[in-house]
Amino acid sequence: MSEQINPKLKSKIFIKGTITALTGLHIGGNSIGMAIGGADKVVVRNPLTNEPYIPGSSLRGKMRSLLERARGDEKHNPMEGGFSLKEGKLEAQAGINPETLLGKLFGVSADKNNGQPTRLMVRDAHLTPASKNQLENAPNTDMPMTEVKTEVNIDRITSAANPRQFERVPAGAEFAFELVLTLLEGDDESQFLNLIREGLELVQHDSLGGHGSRGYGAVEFSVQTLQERTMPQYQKGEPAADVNEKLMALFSNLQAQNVAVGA
Amino acid sequence: MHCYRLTFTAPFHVDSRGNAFYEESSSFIHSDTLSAAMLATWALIWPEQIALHAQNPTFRISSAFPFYRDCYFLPRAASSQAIRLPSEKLKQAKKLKKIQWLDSKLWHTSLTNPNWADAIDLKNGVCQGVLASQTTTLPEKLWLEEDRPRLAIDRNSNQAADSQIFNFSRIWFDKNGGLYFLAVFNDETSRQQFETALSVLGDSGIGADRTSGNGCFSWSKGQMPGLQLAEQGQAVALSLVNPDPGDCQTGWLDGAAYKLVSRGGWIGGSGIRKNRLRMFAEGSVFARPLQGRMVNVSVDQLPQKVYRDGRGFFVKAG
Repeated sequence: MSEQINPKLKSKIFIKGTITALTGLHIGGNSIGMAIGGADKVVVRNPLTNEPYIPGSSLRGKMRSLLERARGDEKHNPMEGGFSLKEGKLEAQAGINPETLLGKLFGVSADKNNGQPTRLMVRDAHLTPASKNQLENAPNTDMPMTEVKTEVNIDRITSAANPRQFERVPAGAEFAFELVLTLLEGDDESQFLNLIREGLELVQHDSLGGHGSRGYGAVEFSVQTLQERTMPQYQKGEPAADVNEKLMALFSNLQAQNVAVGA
Repeated sequence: MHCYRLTFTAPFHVDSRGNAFYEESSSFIHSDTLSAAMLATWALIWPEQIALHAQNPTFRISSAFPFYRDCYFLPRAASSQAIRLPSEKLKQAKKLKKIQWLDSKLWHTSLTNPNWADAIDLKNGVCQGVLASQTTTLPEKLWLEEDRPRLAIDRNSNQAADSQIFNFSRIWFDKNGGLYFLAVFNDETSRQQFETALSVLGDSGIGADRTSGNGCFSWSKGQMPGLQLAEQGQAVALSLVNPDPGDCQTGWLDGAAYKLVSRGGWIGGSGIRKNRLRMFAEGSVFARPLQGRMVNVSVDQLPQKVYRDGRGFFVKAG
């Protein structure tokens, strides 16, 4: 940090759309206050409305870790970045180089920061009103707006069963998500948007939340609006406006997963 | 004097201790935090101005206090802490002691009338044990604190990294409520710049963990009735204050009632702690308003200077 860098804000890009749960989704919440006879592992809920939601940190963390794993070790990829290996241990952690694209997009730890703001902000995704209505009126949910799935662990020798229960948001539920990309002067917006699109695709081909290896958390993204609010618009108090079609086209064909809803 | 209402579109986490303790969040925002967030945003929009501006901002703001619909809460003045209760009401003393926020009417009464607490309806007029209003029906809870588990995932094994689970607490405000603050400006240009920066701050979020969508808000202008900026005479602080040497004249603490708070925290983007500083808390009462000062809390290793806003925002008492 020998000289001070003064980045200047150019605009903010708002990416909005829906996340559809293709299979049951479990993002763990706090088990304190668990009811007798309730599930062992509960999902995270909005304390005001009791609706399950997808925390921004979960989606963001998943995007980041998948993108970093796809790039490999940060040292071998100085342009785009990747994960960093902890010296002497076989432990891979988040990237630490602030000059790489991933470092700029997701940020690095404060002591490695070069004075630039983190570009990507992922907000909590809440149930869409239609989906909320559907789940509230669903006749067969076990807990408010969720299902409880029982899984059994069988002892290989005695065949004794050891059951446990997971709370899940049922397949078909829809959440509204919003990503905010902060652009500084000199940033190439298509580079960052491309990385975000790739991140969303990687999450589609992986899973969100817990127990992905047993089929939980398959999701599909559909981006509906892409808007930009530039600095002059902030100064005049104007709202965000749609971006050009070329950028919008980036998100129009997120590679679908072909898993039937409710399957 | 301008009033800005912040309606939160996402929960927020504002550290009350400044030592990376995530499990508890403050439910309102102190003036120095708000001022620093505004100036950090300012630095992104007008980087050429910031070196001068950080030392001497063109605005002066109060802390951000809760509101519910048209009911604005003010911090209970330190001078109203001691109350005399008739013997049949002594059982209420504990409850009355805990009340920290008073609606504007009660607040004005509390400054002049020693029996002000008689007007509080402990059954219906108190919310969460800390907010009291005579005029507005309050919701059961104006805000809720959520404690959510968080963890780090190892890139190699895709498993939760050992011992990296922690709890993160966030404040969710009722959708009819939020926080408001008061501001005064040097001139019209600084007001416009301030409002631009406030819009950007709303889209970027305030407090911790903004990249996970925390602390976003939208703002609107509000009308805060019945407060006058104090120029002389007895005054109540609506912000944190660190007295300027010029404030500390002979007898400056005569008749004063105050609380002290210790403020710490991290310097943004450096991973280094700020020097700790003590300030007079909101609700402190002095015989005359204090000027306060921007305190230099710089740490040697950093190229830029770091300031903490300790300038006073005082209104007339009574």
